[in-house]
Amino acid sequence: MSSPLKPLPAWADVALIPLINVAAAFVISGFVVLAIGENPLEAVQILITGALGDLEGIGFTLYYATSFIFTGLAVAICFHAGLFNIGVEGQAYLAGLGAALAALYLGFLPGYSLVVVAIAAAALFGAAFAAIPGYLQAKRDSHIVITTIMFNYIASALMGYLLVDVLRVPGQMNAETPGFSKYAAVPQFHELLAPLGIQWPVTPFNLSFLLALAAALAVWLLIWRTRLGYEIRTVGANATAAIYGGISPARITIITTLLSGALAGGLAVNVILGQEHRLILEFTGGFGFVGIAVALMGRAHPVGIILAAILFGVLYQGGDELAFDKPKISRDMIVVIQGLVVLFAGALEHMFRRPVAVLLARRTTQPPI
Amino acid sequence: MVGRKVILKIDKGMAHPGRVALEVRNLVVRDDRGVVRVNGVSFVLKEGEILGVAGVAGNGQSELLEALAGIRPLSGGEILVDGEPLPPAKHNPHAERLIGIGHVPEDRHRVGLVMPFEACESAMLGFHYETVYGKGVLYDRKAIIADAGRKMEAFDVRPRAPLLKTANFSGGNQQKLVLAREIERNPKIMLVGQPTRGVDIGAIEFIHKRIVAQRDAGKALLLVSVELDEILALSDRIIVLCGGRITGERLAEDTNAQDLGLLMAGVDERAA
Repeated sequence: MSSPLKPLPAWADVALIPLINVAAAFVISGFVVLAIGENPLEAVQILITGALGDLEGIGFTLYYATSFIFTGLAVAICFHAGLFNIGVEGQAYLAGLGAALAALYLGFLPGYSLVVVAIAAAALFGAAFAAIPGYLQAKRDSHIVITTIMFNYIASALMGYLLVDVLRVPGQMNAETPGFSKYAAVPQFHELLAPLGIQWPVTPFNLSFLLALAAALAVWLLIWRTRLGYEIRTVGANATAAIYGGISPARITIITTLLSGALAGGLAVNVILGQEHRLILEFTGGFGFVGIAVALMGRAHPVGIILAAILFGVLYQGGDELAFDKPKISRDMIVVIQGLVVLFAGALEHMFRRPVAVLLARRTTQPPI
Repeated sequence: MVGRKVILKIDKGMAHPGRVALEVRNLVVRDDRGVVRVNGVSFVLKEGEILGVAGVAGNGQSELLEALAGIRPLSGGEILVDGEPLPPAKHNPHAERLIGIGHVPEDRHRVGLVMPFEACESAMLGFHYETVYGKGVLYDRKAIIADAGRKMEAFDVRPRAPLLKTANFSGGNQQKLVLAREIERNPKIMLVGQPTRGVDIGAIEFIHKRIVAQRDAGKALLLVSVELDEILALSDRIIVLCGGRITGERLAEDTNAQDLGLLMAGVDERAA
């Protein structure tokens, strides 16, 4: 029944296997670049220089990474409860509505308390939109994968209607709200550093990054150091044991999806409050779906998610530069890499596990048990 | 497993049954498909005795145990604890733990433990809300590990590694971990299901001694097992289930495997 091989050591499990999986995704991406007729090594060089070669590149990279940390955490927290939230995209979209409504209509709030309330509103709207699939899963057994996918379309249609017919500035052609007051903006780093005499190029990189790191720490503490986290992991690992242990899987399902939706709201904070300063159509740009790849690659652990988010930030920023320098390689190449990461880190997660275990077992002399 | 019949003999003195700790009246329980599995079962369980529930697997024992533990809803009848009816609001695992009903589930893999968890985390399942594991919002990891260490010491769980994954322990040691968790909380009533299924001989003896020690400490124990030898070795009194009904009740000292075997098939020699 059980494999005769001894289990992998922790370092191999946590670091080596994900690294091999990601490397495999990149090697195959390299072949795709080769097939297009470009030099993969040159492409990698352009990509990395574009993403990390100067402060401007780094600013954009970290701006993207901020979004990915939030969406990755949103997906990961659901993984721990055994749920697959594919609706981060839609939840973040609705969170943008919350942020915008607060920013536009609560302008009477004193100073920067407005942005704090707007952030809270983003989390609240994200959570509220996630609550419906969460409730349906918990009480009606409607599978959350199906409902959240459908809710992405509902979010898209609803926001399209609101932006075009309700929130748009009259006479304005663009489907967007008026701009927010400066007190509804999450400050960008180049603004903050300028008074200190530090020149940082103008990038959308803003304080949401620190909020994302704080959220990562909070998720880690929640999952591994609190009673709620214990209950979430128990439900995810063994729902029957959870019931035996006096834990209600329905309650945990609802709470977890609420938290996930609130975390998805971070994407809206970063993009809408941190960069755009107005609500625009489709601002989520598929970043909610990237969160799935980030969570898989980061193995649902906040540290792994931060690292994976930065890697995807590099891919997005570097990918833009690459598409600019090498017109044959379109931005869609990034989607290809993303897909391959999901394939290797998610679907084929265990493909390299056995060969690695065999290799390690051969190298280390095993003491008899 | 050892290629011969193993004689389970345990030194145990006379039982001294006291007050009625648990009473069941006309209990009806359905399984997940809605089939009636327990059909009008009534019995009493006294302090200081082990009541064995014998029967061929699938005759309602599992559902009875789950219903008593608050995992499975009742379709009829009532449960009385210390003479007081258990209100529906308290018919759940959490509330029952609070009033001192311990439960060793039949299936440690699927129910009793969380296999991917560290042993120390499995060792607090059901009690994880308690303040001994951390007074504030956050858990106190040291307290969790120390608590698991104490339980492992008391029940000789090997290896004594609170941080080892639960799945990496042998079946016997996993079972000892479950028993340690439940018994160390000192419940007044214990519901014990298949305590030695898939457990090595050494651990069987150890577990049996612990169960008898609980009885001698004045606890009320309900033992469900499909091992007739185990029922005969441990129980003071035995009820036999067949088709969801009690087909007979015997004192352990004046019955034998043949008598019980007939009852399990629904035939009562003495009544005939």
